[in-house]
Amino acid sequence: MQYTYPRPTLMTNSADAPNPDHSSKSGAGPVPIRLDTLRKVQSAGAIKPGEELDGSIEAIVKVNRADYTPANITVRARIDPFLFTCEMPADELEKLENDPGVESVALSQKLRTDDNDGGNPKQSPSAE
Amino acid sequence: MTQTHFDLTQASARSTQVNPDMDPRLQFYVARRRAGVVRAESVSTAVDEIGVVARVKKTSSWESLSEVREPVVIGKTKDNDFIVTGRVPITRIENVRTQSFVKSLKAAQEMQPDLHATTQETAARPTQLPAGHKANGGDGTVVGVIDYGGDFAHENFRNGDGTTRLLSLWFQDGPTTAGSPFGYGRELSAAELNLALNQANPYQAVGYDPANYDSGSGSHGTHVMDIAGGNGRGSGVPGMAPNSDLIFVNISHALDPTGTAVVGKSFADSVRLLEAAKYIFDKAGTQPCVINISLGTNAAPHDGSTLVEQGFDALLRAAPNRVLTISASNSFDDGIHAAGTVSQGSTVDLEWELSNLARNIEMEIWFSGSDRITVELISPNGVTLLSASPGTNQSLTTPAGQVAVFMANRLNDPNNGDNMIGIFLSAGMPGGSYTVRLHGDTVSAGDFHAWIERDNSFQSQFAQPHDNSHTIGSVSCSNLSIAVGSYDGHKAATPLSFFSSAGPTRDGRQKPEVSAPGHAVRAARSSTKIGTTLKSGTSMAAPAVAGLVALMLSEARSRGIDLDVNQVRDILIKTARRKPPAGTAWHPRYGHGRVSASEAVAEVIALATPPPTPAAAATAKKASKKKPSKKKKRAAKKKGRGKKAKP
Repeated sequence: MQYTYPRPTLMTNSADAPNPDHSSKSGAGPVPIRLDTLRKVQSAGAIKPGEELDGSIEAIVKVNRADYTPANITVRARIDPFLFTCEMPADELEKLENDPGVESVALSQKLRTDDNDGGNPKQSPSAE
Repeated sequence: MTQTHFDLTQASARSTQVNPDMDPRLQFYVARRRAGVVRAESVSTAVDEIGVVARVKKTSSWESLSEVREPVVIGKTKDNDFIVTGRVPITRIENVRTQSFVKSLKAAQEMQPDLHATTQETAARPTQLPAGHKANGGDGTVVGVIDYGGDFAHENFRNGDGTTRLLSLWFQDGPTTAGSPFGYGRELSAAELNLALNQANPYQAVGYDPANYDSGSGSHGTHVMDIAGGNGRGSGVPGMAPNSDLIFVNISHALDPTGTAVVGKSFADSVRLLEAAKYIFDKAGTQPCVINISLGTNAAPHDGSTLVEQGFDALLRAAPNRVLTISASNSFDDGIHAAGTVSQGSTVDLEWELSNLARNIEMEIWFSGSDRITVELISPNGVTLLSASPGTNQSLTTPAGQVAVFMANRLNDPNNGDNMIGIFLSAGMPGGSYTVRLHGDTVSAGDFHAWIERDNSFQSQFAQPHDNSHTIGSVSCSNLSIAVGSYDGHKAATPLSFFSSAGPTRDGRQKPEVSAPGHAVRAARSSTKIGTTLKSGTSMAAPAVAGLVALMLSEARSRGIDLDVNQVRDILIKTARRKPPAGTAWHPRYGHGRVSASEAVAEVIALATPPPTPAAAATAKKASKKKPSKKKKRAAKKKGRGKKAKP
């Protein structure tokens, strides 16, 4: 399927700031993702459109007190006193957001091999 | 397998109309092309192109011929002609041959490069190391590889008695057992691997087969591990640290139960990458250990602030004798980076060129946390599709509810305080040149950098001219890891690999630190036991440095000293060779230069040679005082002569 523009509908999150007048050919509406509620989630490679987080997610968590573990989180690998990896239900992200002991959270970012043949293995994921 | 044979009963002889004065091999290629046979792409030539060696009167004429790609001057003959090479389209061979300045033109012989080119060019062979060295091929040091498809059954990873050289292998996508590291995947101990190696099908015996990670020319991880630490028992050619101990982690790329990657879930996978590094250092324990990572992406702040990079730094800081090498990335020529400055009240346009999208693509734009920039996306026909002001996100959805475009203008990243604009275009978007317009709302710094995320099969680009700086990989920017660029170690001029990414980092640090051979490297091929395969990439350069570091760590350990990662980096930089790169300054692609194993090991030896202790120095001084001075010697001699004269 190929989209044509501008048939799709504009959805905007304008809770924090008014929609600027740079675009004038689209409509407006709410979106499910509210970045302002997940300010501790690292930006790089993590902010995605369309689908809400659900199920189990893997993450790297940085805390501001040595050896601190937030409630309901099971550490998978303690990297150093301030950094650990974990697997957790997606809705724990909001709790981490409100936890003053948590500094930031990084969700998984996809990686590829650095050979020049594009030689990712058969089983590696496509770009979605 | 059935063999197809020609039916010669219907064959007929015919004139080829090909210039008969040419090299017969060239005639053959031209004749085949005219018969409709298209020559496939190779590691060094494009489709329908052939490598040639020529003798010419003027190098400038050769270099200016538009048919000649990648011209290289090899040297001068006794007759004052020049030997040159290049890649030429087969359809233009005859035209090139008939140029008046071309005195001879021959098809290049197929090269048989192997790991000799890597080990010799970096002076890592035992005979090239300093006299009296104790590196012993990396003996006692662990080389850890995080990659895909480590073929534990390849002879290059086995001892003389056939047992494995691997201390362990963790395949993260294996079945979880009670002893799984960090609660997932399967860990295979050396004992389990040895049991499997005695079976008819060792892969089946342990449920791990590198063939599952083979994209057609052998698995990536087997090739990488051989460069760093293969012993040549199967292929006949050892890698950089052939006596090292090995640990391999097959990094997983978890998919959701339906088999599709889901937003927010694991891909191929930065979280598991960090766990793999932790696993290897833990396994190595007190043994010196170097880990190689030949993985990456494009989208990131490129300042070392991501948590996976902070994690690398934490692991490297935790103990001495730990080093992590990482490929610089292969994106130099991909048009994936743009940079500029937005002024308050003005706009800057970035042109994003793509064909009809079959896959999702994304771009990240990073800028100072003090600036407020509104982003607008304009379609190829001039329609504003979306606009997102600072701190908001917007999406363009189809009537069916599918997100066609998504833009997030996010403030204050928790790791570096900077702002980031993310733009996502979904599969199905029409191709063309899209404009990303940045509006300077409130600006004090104004500088921005933009990266298009990597896609190995379809890479969208910024419009020409490209800014190829800052193309270093997303996880290659940590403070303590050592990023490695690639050059061609088979050529005397050691030219840069066309793909090898450039630094610096966004925060201005000099990465890659060094470079190594990564072009057309022949190393172990998975599922062959003894075979090899050719691969090119910074993926192949980084493990060469990992193996070199293993030699340094073994040398240090055998002399009773520790090396921390900063000392290792300093030595690699101090001993890196120049010409190329020219001059003395850091080069954005070669780094500080081409690594030298012999010089680096010599530096470790010097570091380990203790300076005289104060007591020893005092004794030496005393001894020198006791020694008669020249004046006294002369006086004594004179006195003696006098005595002699008296009798």
